Amino acid sequence: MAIITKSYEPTFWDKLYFPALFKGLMVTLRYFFKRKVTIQYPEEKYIPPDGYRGLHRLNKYSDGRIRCVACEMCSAACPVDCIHIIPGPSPWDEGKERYPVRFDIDLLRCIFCGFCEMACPEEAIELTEIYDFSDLTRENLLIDRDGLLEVYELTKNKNYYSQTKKSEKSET
Amino acid sequence: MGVVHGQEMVLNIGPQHPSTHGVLRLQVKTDGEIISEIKPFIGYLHRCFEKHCENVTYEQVIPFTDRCDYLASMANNFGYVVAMEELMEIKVPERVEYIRVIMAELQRIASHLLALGTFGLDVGAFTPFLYMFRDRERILDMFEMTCGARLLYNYMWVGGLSHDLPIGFVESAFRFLDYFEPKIEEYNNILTYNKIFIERTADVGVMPADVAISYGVSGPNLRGSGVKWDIRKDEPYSIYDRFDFDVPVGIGEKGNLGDCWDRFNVRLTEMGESIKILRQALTQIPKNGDVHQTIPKKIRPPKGSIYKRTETPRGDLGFYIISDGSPIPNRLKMRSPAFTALSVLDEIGRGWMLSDVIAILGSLDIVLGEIDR
Amino acid sequence: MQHDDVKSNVLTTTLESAINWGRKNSLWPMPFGTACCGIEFMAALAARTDISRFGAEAIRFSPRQSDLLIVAGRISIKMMPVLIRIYEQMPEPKWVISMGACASSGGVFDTYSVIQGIDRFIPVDVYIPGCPPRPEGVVDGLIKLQELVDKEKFSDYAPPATNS
Repeated sequence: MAIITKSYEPTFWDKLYFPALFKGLMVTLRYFFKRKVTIQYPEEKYIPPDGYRGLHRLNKYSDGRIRCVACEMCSAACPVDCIHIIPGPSPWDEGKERYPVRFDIDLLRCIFCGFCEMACPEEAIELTEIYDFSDLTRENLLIDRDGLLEVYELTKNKNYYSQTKKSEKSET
Repeated sequence: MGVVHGQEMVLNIGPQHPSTHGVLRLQVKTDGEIISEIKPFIGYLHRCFEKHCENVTYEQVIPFTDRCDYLASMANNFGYVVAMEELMEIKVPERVEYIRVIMAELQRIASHLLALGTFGLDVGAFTPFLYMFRDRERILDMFEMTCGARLLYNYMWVGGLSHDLPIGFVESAFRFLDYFEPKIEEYNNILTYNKIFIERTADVGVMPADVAISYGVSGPNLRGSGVKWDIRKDEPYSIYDRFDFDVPVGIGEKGNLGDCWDRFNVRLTEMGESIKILRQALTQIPKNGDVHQTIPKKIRPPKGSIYKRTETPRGDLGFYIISDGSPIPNRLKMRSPAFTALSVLDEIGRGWMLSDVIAILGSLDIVLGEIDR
Repeated sequence: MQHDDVKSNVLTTTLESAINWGRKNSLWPMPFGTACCGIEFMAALAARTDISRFGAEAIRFSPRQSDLLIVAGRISIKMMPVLIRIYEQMPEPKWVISMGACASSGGVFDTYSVIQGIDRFIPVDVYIPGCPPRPEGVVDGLIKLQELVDKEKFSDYAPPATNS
């Protein structure tokens, strides 16, 4: 049994409760007139800093060839085994010999740790700044090679979110 | 006045209960409102961390340590990499050490903010929770700037860091500290010295120092009982011996020594000490240096074992690693501070009322991810 | 009068869309937060990403008062019966959001004790990927769910035909 002794004796001033109440209300009242910190999300987007670990993409060369050579370094480094690659001979004459015929990422399994982009020798796989990609079915969240290339087209200029109104709330 | 004894009733709190901080089941024996026994049931979040680590490489353990104590991921990373570096005898560059200390201390502030905010929420104060989350968001913004994630970072690697500090980090950290320092006074006004909060927490759940020591409680919970024990000070790891800071202990200001209010206040004062460390570290940090320089190509520690403990926001976190010379750990054991903090609940919770148990549990600041592992 | 003018000046609606409008703007979530995602859900509740802007701030910890179950965090085998019990206690109509990698697919914990996706046991309406998702991701999932609720038909709730 624990020792239950009372050593705290409130004074008369304490027992009134009102001073404590007003002291707290003064703090909250001061914030009533200050700038609001809420980001009105769907209208104004929070723009993540460079290097944010969001949705993946597969990079391309300027002439349209896929950078990936299907070496499977990323799927070896992945701690959750969410990357599945089937290699095949490259359809382009110049450059690398192999390219991914299939490149599937299970986005629901992925933990966005960034090990894949660190492991990639060709800088082909990269994590982008996209953070809102929830969906209604499991199948839609299984992204394939063409989907990853589409993400590249969307984010190559780094203005996926800045097309909408820029958030001025992020202060750091 | 004579004590009336009624029939005992067994009551289950949890596993899905807002104030058990996750999924914890408490089987409480009560006589009316008075509690005669508390039996915590754990394992509702068990996910086999230690055994799983024996199947992944040493690098891949780091994402798992993130997910143990998810409120203080940086501190968990820190504990693991410090242990690994001592096992492999790696000396990391100065800049890496400084960045690690900066990150760990920022994480300490963020973790304490959440702990205090949810403690307030448990005893019925909603506004402090919103204020503390608002300030915590700014710390998370800085983490996001550095490593691209908000909560689970995978930032500290064995022998180095995954990224260097981004441009403008030091300035924004100073800006944050200037912004944050006056906020502690504000928390005092709104919560710490609030009469209603004091009545709920002062004298409640008194943990005497000898009980705390015999149960192996560490961190702010131990310091709340008046024991001046901090691994950063008493057994310095990394470069903590270079900084000048104080270890705040409970003094029983509002009630008996070691009550919930003392534990709360120790956390609040500790944030001020973290600010002191951060100011020193941010001024002293070397301007340049390669953070990837000492990262080994392949992590293959020599045969042997290591036990290394570090001070996380919750207390004494130990990693025991046995290596057999292969790239995967032979055995990895984690000593979690929240587990010992939970075990003392029965001892200090007896005799109190049901609503006080919620306050005691909130003041112990447990994280179920770390208890169940 | 032009057709557009009629649309913008006269309030015409069916009972179905009126009820759906009411339902989608007053989703009462029951957060089943077990781990890291629960913390991010709390962040979504706090000042920066205020989900009360979508009428979902009335957090109920009793399943009988809520109509949206947000499963945030890993679910172990020991916890799954509790989750099913809570789901069954919720009154119809009810929706489920599976938040984060662990709830949706087990995530990083491919072990004996963790359920590899809660949709093996209870139906899930919206999946939010990420480990953990940003609070904005939670809001995005909530908006997707609101669109889903808007399209619901009364006939979906019709009792199944019996052969008696």
